[in-house]
Amino acid sequence: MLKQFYFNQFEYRRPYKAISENKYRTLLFQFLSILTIALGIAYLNWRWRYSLNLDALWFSVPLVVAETLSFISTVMIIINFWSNSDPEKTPPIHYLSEIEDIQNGKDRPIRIDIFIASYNEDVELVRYSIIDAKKAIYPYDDVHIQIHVLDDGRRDGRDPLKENMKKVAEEENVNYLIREHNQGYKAGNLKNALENTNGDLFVILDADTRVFPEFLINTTGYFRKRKVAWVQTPQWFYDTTAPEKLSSIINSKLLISNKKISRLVDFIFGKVEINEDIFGNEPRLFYDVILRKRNFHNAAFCCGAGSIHRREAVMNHAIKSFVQQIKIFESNLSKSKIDINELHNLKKALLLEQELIPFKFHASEDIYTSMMLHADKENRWESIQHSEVECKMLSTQDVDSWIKQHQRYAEGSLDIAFKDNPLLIKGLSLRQKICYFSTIWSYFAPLWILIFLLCPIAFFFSLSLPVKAYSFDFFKYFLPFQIMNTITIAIGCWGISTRRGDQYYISSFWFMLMAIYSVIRGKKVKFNVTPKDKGFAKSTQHILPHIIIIALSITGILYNVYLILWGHHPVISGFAANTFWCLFNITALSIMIRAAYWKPTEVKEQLI
Amino acid sequence: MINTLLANFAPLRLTAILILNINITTMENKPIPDTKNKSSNESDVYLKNLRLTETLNVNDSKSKIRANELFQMSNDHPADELAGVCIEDVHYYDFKNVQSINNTGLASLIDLTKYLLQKGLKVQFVNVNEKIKEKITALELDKVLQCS
Repeated sequence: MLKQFYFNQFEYRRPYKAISENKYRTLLFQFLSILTIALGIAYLNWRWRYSLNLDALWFSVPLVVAETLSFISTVMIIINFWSNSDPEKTPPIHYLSEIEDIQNGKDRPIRIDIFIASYNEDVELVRYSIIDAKKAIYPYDDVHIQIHVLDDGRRDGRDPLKENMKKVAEEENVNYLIREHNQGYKAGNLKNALENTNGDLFVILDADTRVFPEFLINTTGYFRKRKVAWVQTPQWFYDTTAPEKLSSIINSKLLISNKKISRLVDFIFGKVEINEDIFGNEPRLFYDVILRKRNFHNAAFCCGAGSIHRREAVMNHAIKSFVQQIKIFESNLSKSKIDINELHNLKKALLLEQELIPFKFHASEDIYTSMMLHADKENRWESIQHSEVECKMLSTQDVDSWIKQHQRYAEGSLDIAFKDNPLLIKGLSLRQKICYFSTIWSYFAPLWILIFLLCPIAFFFSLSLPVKAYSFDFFKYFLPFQIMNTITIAIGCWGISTRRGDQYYISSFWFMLMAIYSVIRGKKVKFNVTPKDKGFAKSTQHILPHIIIIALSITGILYNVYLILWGHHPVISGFAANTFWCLFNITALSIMIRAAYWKPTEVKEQLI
Repeated sequence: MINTLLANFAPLRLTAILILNINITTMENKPIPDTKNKSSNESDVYLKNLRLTETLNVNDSKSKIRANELFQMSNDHPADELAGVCIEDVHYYDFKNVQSINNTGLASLIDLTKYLLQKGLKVQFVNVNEKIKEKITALELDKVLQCS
C-alpha cells in the first residue's frame, strides 16, 4: 500500500495539449512586432527629446530610463517569439548506429539510464517516481533501460534517524547510487551517476518527477540527428491549487450560518471562482511559448528534470572544460619564475586535482551547461524543447518555498551574467546570445519594476509630473505603443493567459532585488533543494515591502482625493493617470499577500 | 621492445567484442604496486589490462574508475581486454587494434592516467592510430595523454 500524500487527490488531472503551430499566426505576430518596435522607438524618442519635465528631473529621468530598459525586454521577447520551429518527431531509437557514428564497428541496441536525483525528500514520495519510471514502455525488448536512484542524502540505513532510501530502491528493484559528500550538489550527483553507469542516453528526473509511460518513445527519436545533445520536455505541475468558489470563501470567512444569507451570497458570487494556481506555478507560458520558440534559434536550454541527454555530448563538454582549466593554470605558471622540477610537480598536482565535470558545478547547472554546449564551435550541439508534456511533477506549496526556489533561479542566472556573460561568450550565435541574455535580463527587471511601483507614489506626495504634461501628445505616442504591445504579446502567447504570470513578475520584485544585491556582493549562490511538502507559516517578511507600497499608494490616493475635494490639486489629469497605475500595481502586489496567507481547504477545516 | 612484449603476451591478445564497456583492473585482481615506496630493483614488470566488460564496480577500493567508456575495436581483432605492461614506472597500453575512441572513452583514459599518476606511474599509449591521435590533439589532450 503506497503512502498517501496530498497530491493523490490530483491524480486524475491530465496535462494540457501543446499549442499547435500556425504559420498565419506567426506571420501576423511578425507584422505586429515590427509595428510595436516602430511605435516603441517613436514613443521613446518623444519621451527622451520632448517630454522630460525639466523641473522634476529626479523623477522624470528614472522613469524614462525604466521605460527604455523595459522596451529592451520587449524587443528581446519579440526576437525570442519570432518564429516556431518544432522539430520533426521520429520513431524511437533501437541501435547505437542510429545515433552515433560507430565507424564499421559492431552495432548493438542502445542503453538508456533513468536518473532519479534525490536529497532529502520523503522516500515514499520518491517511490512514486520509481514506480512510474518502471512503467516506461519501449518497443524494443533488447534496449536496456536501467533506473538509478541518486541519493545525495546518504540514506542507506547508516543513520537510524533518517529514512532508508536504499531499502526503497531495493524493494523496487532499481539501482541505488550514493556518494560520501555533496560536492557540486545536483551537478555533482549527476557526475557520480555518469561515472557509475553506461547508458548512451540518460534521463534526468527530480525526486518528484513522474514520467508518463511514453516518455522514452516520444523523445529518443530526436537523437537520430547527431547534433542533438539534449531534449527538454515541459515540466507540468499537476498539483496546483484548484479554484475555490468566492461564495464559499465569504461564507466561511464571515462565519455565515444563516441559510438565507448564505443562499443570497451564493446567488451573487456563486459563479465567481478564485485562488486557482494561487502561487502562479503554472509554467506553461515558459515551456510552451518561451522555451519552445527558442527551437527556432537553437537556444532552448535544459531545465533539469524531464530532460534526456546524449552522454557523448556532456562528456565532450567535460573533457573540454578539463583541458581549459589546465591551460589556464599552465598559463599562470609560465608567467611565474619557478624551477623546472617544481613546475613539473605543480603540473602533476594540477592534473590530479582537476576533475571531469559533465555538468557545471553551479546553482543553475542546467542553463549554464546548456550555454556552454551551445557555444561549442566544433560540435555545434543542438537542443530541442519537446512540445508535449511527458512527465508530471509537484509544485511549491507555500510562499517560503516558492520564493526560495525562484530566488535560486534568479541568483543562479545573475551569477552567470557576472561570471560568463552570454553576450561575451565566443561560439554562441547572435540569436543564441540574445535568447540567453534575455533570460538573464529578465532577472534585472525588478530594477525598473521598482521605479514603476514608486512613481505613482512619488507623484501623489510631490505633485510633480514625470512628463511635461499628460497632454494629447503623450497619449498620442503612449497609447498606440502600449495597445500594440499588448496585442502583439497576446498573439505571441496565443492560447495562454499571461495575466497571472505578469502579476507574479511584478510581485516578485523584492526577492529578485535581494537576489541582485546578493550576487553583486559576491555571495556564493547556494543550491537550495526545493521543499516538496507543505509548510503553511505566514511569511510576513517576504510581503512587508508589498504591504508598505500598497499602504503608501492608498494613502497617496486618499491625500490627493482630499486635495481635489478642497480644490488644491494642481494636476487632476496626473491624479487620474497615476491612480490607474496604482490600482494596477496594487492588484499585482496583492497576489503575493494573498498567497502568503492562503491555506488549503483541508488545513482550514483542521484549524476550524 | 614494448610492442614485442605485448604481442607475445598471448592470453591478453585482443580477442572478443567490438563495442564494449571498459573497466580497469589488475591481473588476477592484484593491487597496483605503490612504486613510490619501492627501490628500482623491486619495480617488477607487471601487467595491467583495461578490461572491456560490462561488469561494474570492479574498481580498486582506493579510487573509483569510470566504468562506462566506449572503444571501437577492429573487427579482425575483437577483444574484451586491452593489454598493458609496466616497465620502470611507465605503464604502456597497446592501441594497435583500437580503431576509434569516443569522448566517454577519452574520459576513461584521463581517469586512468590520473589514477596511475597518483600511484607514481606514468602512462603511455602505444600504436595509437592517426585518427585517435587527431582526436586527442583536437581536444588538446596531447599534454595529458601520452600517445605514440
